[in-house]
Amino acid sequence: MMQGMDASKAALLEAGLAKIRARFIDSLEDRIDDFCAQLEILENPATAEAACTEIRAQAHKLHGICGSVGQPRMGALAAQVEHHIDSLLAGPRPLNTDFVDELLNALLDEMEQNVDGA
Amino acid sequence: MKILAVDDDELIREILSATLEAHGYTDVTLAESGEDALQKIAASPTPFEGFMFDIQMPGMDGTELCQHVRQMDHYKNSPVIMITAMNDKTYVDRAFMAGATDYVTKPFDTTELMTRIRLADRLQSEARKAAAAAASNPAAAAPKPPFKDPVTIKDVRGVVKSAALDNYVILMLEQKQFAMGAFAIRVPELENVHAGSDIEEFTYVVTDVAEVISDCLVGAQAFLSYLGGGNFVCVGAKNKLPTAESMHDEFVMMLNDPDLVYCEEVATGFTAQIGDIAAPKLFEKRGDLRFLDRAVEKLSEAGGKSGGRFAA
Repeated sequence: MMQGMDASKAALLEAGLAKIRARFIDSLEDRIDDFCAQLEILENPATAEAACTEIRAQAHKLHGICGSVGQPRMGALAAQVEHHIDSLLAGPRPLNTDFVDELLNALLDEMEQNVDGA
Repeated sequence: MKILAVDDDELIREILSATLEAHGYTDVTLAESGEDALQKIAASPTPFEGFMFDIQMPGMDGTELCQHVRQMDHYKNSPVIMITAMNDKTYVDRAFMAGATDYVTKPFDTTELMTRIRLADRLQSEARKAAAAAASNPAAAAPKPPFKDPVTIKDVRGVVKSAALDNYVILMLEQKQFAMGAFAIRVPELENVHAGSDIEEFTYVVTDVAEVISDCLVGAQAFLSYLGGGNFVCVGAKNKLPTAESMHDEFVMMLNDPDLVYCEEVATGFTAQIGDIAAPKLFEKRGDLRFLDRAVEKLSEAGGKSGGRFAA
């Protein structure tokens, strides 16, 4: 078993990770669409909690992957959304989702910039 | 090492696969959910030797999956590395309670990831060698381990192996979510139990004692481990851990309740030494576990006090 990597294996890994990074950028438009759909659901008080749960799940996934594909700022913004929703859901009802909206829009701006820059 | 890696994010699965393969781990199976993982475990012609489970997944999460795997005879002691984001302490606690042995954090640091995998690989290799040695000479009775060695305690809430406890503490120190503390407990009479009984009976008694400690720690959200030599160490949020004074009398009373701690072969009258709480020092780096050693040292200080609060 290898204890480290020789240059050829390292190059192969880097090439593989580069492809994964490119696929991540390609996936951003779909992720943006999903978030936008949830933003609309968030506006209805009757469905706001379900929207928060879904946004939180998507933000969690994004937070998990961003740092590994060279997107630390996007990951930090996703983490903010995730943490805020955790606090919100642990608190009283009805939910005030104004700040979720604000944080999610900041995250969407960052995602769109990456799509535009690709 | 044959590895099963489970994550609901396809890109994460690909990163794991690419990284493991580049480091020589080519026998990697990927699963997209807990349910998918169980199917792949059942269908695998040869057993897996290590697992990586994402903690937060839709449907069956990694913790539940870990519980399922631990119930399988073949995987009772297999390395289970949980994959976690930095913010989910509650999930991490549940995962270690469910039998996880280690963790890696997302985003992945390749060096850290491979360190964890190699550690799991080494432990698995040692376990394989021990099993092979036992199988090659089944007639020879295994020698009784010395009193100073730990024994494996199973199915007690909050009790984890010493290596898993170290991994948990390192993770919590990295997350800096709360001030950690640790204290140790010694039950000196366990030495007599060890001397006068076989290893099976001794393990039963140690397990009973661990259950009593676990009961005394309810509400503290603490973990504990048996270090051997009659010593236990308990770790948790410093402000939630009980003090020696608050815990001692009830603990000793429970230890001497035969419904809670029963030893058939040796007459016992248990006493306990409970050390003061030790905490990491400001100058100590993250990942520095010396405060656990200090917790055990404080036990010696406690034992030496005259007329002590530690006598039964």
